[in-house]
Amino acid sequence: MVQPEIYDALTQILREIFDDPTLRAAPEMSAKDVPEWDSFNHINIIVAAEQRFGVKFRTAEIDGLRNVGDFAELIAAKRQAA
Amino acid sequence: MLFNSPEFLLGFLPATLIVFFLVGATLGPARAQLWLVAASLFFYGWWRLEFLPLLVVSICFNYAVGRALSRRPRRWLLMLGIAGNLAALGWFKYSGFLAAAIDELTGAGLPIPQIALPLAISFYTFQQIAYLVDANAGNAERTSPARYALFVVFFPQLIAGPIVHHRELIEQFERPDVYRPRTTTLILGIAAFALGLFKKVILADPLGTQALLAFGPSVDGTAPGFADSWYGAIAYALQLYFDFSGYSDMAIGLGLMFGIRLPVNFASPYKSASIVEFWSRWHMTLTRFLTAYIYNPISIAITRRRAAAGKPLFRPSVPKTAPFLMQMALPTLVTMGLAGIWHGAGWQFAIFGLLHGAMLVVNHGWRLLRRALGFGRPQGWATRGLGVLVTFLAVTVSFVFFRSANLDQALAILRGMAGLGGEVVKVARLGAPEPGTVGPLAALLSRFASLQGLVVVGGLAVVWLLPSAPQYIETLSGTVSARIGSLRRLLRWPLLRPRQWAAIAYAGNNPLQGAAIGILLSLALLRALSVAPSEFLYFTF
Repeated sequence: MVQPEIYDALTQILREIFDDPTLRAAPEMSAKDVPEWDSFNHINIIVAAEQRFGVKFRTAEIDGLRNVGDFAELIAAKRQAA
Repeated sequence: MLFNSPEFLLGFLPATLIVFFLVGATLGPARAQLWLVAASLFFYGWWRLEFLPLLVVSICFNYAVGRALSRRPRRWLLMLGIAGNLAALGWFKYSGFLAAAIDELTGAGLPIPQIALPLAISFYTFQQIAYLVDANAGNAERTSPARYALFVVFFPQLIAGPIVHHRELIEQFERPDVYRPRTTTLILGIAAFALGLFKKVILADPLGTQALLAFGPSVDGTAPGFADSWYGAIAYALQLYFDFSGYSDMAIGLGLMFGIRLPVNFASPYKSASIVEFWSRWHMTLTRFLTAYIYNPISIAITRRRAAAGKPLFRPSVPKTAPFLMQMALPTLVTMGLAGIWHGAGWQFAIFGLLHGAMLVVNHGWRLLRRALGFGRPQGWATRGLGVLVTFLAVTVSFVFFRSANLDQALAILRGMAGLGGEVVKVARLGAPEPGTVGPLAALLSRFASLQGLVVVGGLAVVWLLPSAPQYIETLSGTVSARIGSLRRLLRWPLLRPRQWAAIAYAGNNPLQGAAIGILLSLALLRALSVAPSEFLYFTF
């Protein structure tokens, strides 16, 4: 179960990294929707989320992500396991 | 066996394909898999039997380690597995180079081992290391030895890629419909193979002869003239593309004949308007692996460390130099440097990789700077055209390192490209009574305008104006299945109504496409069967 607060926190991270207050994290959102979301900023988002949620992702887990929804579910699963 | 050799085209391929479907239909998928493994090992052993044991040992070793890792992840075992792979690769690929480098540095008079490079070792080592990493992360499903072996040795992709991910290949071999011949994939496979064979024998091989204008005389370090340097370097950039993308198209086509989809490796790379874009369109399966298994881990480790130390993370809106250098430039240079020497043991390959790393960093930096200065994304065909031209020339220069036998040769050609090479060029111009002395630019143009230059100009037209082969095959798939459907309906012709006749006629909307591919295939086959088959450039990696 993905709590709404995960999306709120992701929204905050995205807004801060891309400096765009209109961004809103949604399950079906993906890197394609933000022009500056390249492999470089991808890592920044991942690490910012690690810090925010106090979890650590494996490389293989990151490769399997298709969209923000996948990411939120991964975070939820990690938090539950922790 | 080369894809462009008679023994492959007339013997191995049809025999393997027919027996595969026969065994699949009668004895079932498991036996068909074994047959395909055996055939692929035969295909590999045809070159040099002595390399076969290493391949078999490598498969057994990685399968055993991978199985143990997916049962229980263990870091030491993963490290052992990776070390085993790298040790084999290092011994066969890099020991001669390292010994020579140390010898030159110390003057110790070391014996320099002369070790023959086992075919495809860079490719199968790379694919299997990725498998071990995924197995340890719990990301690799357990599979049968035959399917695992197929993931490594499936002959269309064994020698030079496309570099496949274990999951994408193993999953496909688990599907029962792979073992039944399907008309659509068979036809599309033949079409893709035809385009690839044409690229190889009609375009790449003659381009290779033109490239010798730069790479022939410079072997001993003599700089060629300005015109020959540029002309030869451009011919080589085209040769490499047609050779490798032709090989990839053939691999994809062969895969399709077996009902297997291999990943696309090239998407019109020379249409890229930047280096960043270039690497998303050139040798895409390599880029994908480099990003996932080298760039990301390094970049994540650095970013985590900076974050833990309380340093600010990089933000594109407020670009700062230190985070840019640490989080972006460093991992990029390391990744591309490794990508360079993955291709071959030699300084020229290291320089090739680092050059691309540097160009990628400059490209990313430029994007940030442009944004910081308040310019939007560039638009319009003129800007894009300029970007394409600059990117193509930059890539052409980098491939001079890639093609050269050593650093001296590469530098000699670069001197030539800078106009510092030897004598003023003498050319026989059409209509001119005798060879006259012309300026360097006129000499370059006359190279392109010559009869031999036709293949270079034609090659440029193909890479800039035509869609990529996989893209084209994709558009063809709808037409092909529609046409097969209407042929089936045609069998019931006494029952058909006029409207259905019309539908059948419409499904054959573009018979020219089929005819065109048929002509390309015939030309390519005539050529392939009449000359001694030449090796693919990527077979030496």
